[in-house]
Amino acid sequence: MQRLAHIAGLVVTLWSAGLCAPVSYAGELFIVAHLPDREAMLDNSELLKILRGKQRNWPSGYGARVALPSRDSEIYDQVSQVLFQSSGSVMQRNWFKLVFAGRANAPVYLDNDADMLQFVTSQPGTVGMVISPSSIEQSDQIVIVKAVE
Amino acid sequence: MSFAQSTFNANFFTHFEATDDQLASTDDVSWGESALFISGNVSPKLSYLAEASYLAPAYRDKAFKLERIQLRYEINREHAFSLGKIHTPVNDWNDSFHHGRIFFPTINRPLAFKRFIPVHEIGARLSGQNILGGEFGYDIVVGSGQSAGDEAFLNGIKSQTYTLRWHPLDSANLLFSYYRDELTAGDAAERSGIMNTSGRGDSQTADGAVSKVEYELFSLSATRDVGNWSVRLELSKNRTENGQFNDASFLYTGYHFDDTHTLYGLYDEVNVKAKEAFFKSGIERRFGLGYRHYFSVNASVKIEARRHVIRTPGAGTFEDNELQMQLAFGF
Repeated sequence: MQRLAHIAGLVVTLWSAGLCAPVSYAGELFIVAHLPDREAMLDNSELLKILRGKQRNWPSGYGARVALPSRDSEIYDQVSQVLFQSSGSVMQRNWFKLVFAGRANAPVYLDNDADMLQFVTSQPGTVGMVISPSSIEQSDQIVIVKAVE
Repeated sequence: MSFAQSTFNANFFTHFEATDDQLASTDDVSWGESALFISGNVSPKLSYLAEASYLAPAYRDKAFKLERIQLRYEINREHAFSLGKIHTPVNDWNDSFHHGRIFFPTINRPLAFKRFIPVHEIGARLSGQNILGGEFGYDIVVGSGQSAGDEAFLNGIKSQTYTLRWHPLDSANLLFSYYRDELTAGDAAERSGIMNTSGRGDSQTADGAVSKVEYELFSLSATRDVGNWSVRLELSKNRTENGQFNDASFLYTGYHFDDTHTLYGLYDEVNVKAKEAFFKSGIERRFGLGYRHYFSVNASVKIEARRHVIRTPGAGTFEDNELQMQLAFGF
């Protein structure tokens, strides 16, 4: 009985800590970045900082632009799970707050991978996330990495 | 390589409130402050931000107010320089929330904002983030001072703000700040509302003879998210003319049932000591429970049931049970 109580306590603790929250990924996510200059090479965690609004510039000070999936995108909630461990609406609210605090530039919201890739490749300094980056190739300026911690 | 294109972003915020209390200054139903927010980039390193608010003339002398207008230049990845009318980074609340209410964790700002907090400052700001191992940040602001109102550097540099931030975890932030200003009693102070953005402040001079008052404010902010819980603590101590310290404390604890439903408790108190010469002496306290629901990314409702106590020396004690509801929108 005491053991059962311990297990129940552990489950409640884990649940309240959000560790038991259901997480489902349809597939792997990739970060796509358009480097603005030669100084700009960053690792995965640094790119995630930009996507989370924790870092607003590239190493040279060049302003980073963030492109996120819109509510109509099929990876809206999936991207938010990776970035904020929460739903898409929480991701949007977090970004709203950052922009209005003056801590970040407003992100651009795009409906699908094709729009995301087109936008990132045409805008130096932009970082976005897609589920299928196969239609573009890496280059000196375009970097594609898996979105993992 | 040139910046592909400049950016422009505009948003509008407003809210409506219904209040059941005994305060004569509160309407049963009111249309609250509305704000137009504009931001964007003009080059890869230069950005702008502007915010104007409107409040019906019944509630404020100036219906339209320019709340913020600033230019920011990114010196490098960690450091930036800003110029203009800014939100003074004296505490996390003032640095995090703009005039739209949709993101406020509670219906109202902490009580200290009505009295002690220099919400805006016209000046220059040097800021840093993600320094010293990525966990620290800072702000240094030199400003015109509260008594200059919207006249930039009317009397030269009168205020200074020094802020240190520490975020040991993504979900934990600490902020310490020191602010000093030379307040001026009389016309200039009335024009600026001294410490009150709404111009309804209760600041006073003891006998009308005070002309310049040295003001100091020490603040500590702490925010922490653990699982479904969020905690926000705002503490401050202030004094005028090196006198006795006045205190302000605000504690918010919220439990998030999910992404849209939150139950929270709040405790909010200011204590102005009897010997204080510039601000009205007394204690004001609010505490209670609240509930917040986001209908969507753009709309929220908050309901609070509170106990409100005001103790004023020589005027007795006012006690009330309040019920307030707020609908807030952002587009």
